[in-house]
Amino acid sequence: MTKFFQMDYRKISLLLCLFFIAIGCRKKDCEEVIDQPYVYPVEAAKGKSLEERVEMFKIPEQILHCLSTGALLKSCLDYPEMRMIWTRIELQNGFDDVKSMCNGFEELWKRGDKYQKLVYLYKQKDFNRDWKPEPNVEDGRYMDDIVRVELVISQYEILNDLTTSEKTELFQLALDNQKKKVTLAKYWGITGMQTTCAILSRIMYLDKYQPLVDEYNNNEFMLILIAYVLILDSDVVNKVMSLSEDYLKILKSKQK
Amino acid sequence: MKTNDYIFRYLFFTLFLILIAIAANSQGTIQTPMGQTVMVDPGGDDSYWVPICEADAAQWIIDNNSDAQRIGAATTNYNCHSYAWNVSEGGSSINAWLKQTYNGQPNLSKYWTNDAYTSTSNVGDYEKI
Repeated sequence: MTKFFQMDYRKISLLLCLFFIAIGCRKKDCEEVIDQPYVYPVEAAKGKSLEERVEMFKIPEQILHCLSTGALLKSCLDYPEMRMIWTRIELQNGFDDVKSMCNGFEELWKRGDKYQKLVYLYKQKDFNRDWKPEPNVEDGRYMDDIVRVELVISQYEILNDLTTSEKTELFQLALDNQKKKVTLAKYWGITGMQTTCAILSRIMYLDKYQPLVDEYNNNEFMLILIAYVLILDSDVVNKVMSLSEDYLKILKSKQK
Repeated sequence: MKTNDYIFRYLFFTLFLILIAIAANSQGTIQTPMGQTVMVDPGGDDSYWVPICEADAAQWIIDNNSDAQRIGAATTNYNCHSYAWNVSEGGSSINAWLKQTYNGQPNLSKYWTNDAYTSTSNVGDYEKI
């Protein structure tokens, strides 16, 4: 009987130790959710080397976990070196570079409401615009702003977790916007269509839509688009759009 | 009759102008050092992207205190492949977009296929990328 009590006492002590260790290791809850995007020390970082700038632009852990998903998303899109997505031939490689520098993305992938916040932001983008007659920075900035959102949406970390209704909603939205870009091809060019085509083709690829998979296996340019978000042949745009029209009908029929 | 003649000449002149425009806007060819024909074209119409790329690049140089130097205004007349293999060797920079493939056939790789260049996996040995 004494032995039993002794063993029980030891077990209780062990359990208490584990309990306190668990409490000690638990991530400190945010006292307050931060609903404003993180302000990067852009001025202080001016003139520093890229390595130093990357360190200075890391969002501190205690702030990172307390940012609301909307604020976190904007912090990622406003990352000062986000412009480096354009420094590789392929947008995907450019994005991978930025992702390795900006610690906001890893946190964003963990958020359960990331898709809702992204698509909300995407829907707010207005494709009707008074374009200036000559190429200019303002129109370029406007297109770049939309492409950044689309590039984040096109990541598998986002597309893998979609429900059927979310997928249908996004697919319809991306296809509508791609059609608008084609109408305004003089401004958007093939460069501006890469991200919408990537969203559409990657969704079809993930869903193993056979006509798309056949195209992927037989057309190197389709493979390059899906893997690298790069269009090397304008025929790929037509192919993606035509396959998307058919696939959208399938997605809608699944919802009924 | 004189009116018909005028119309004919006018139409002929218009057609001539259209043909010049088409020729100026269509594909051309350049030669590798060993005389293989490589296709080039005016590239896509991405001119609305040029000012933002230039502005971002200029700002990046300032922000990073980089030694990079701007050598001239950006255009969509040629791409990186064309600069490396054609323009830097004295070739034309007008309508000289050089794609990896053309109509599904190898294009860029002609430079290192039975020609003056060979490909290398040793980073220190490269002359062009």
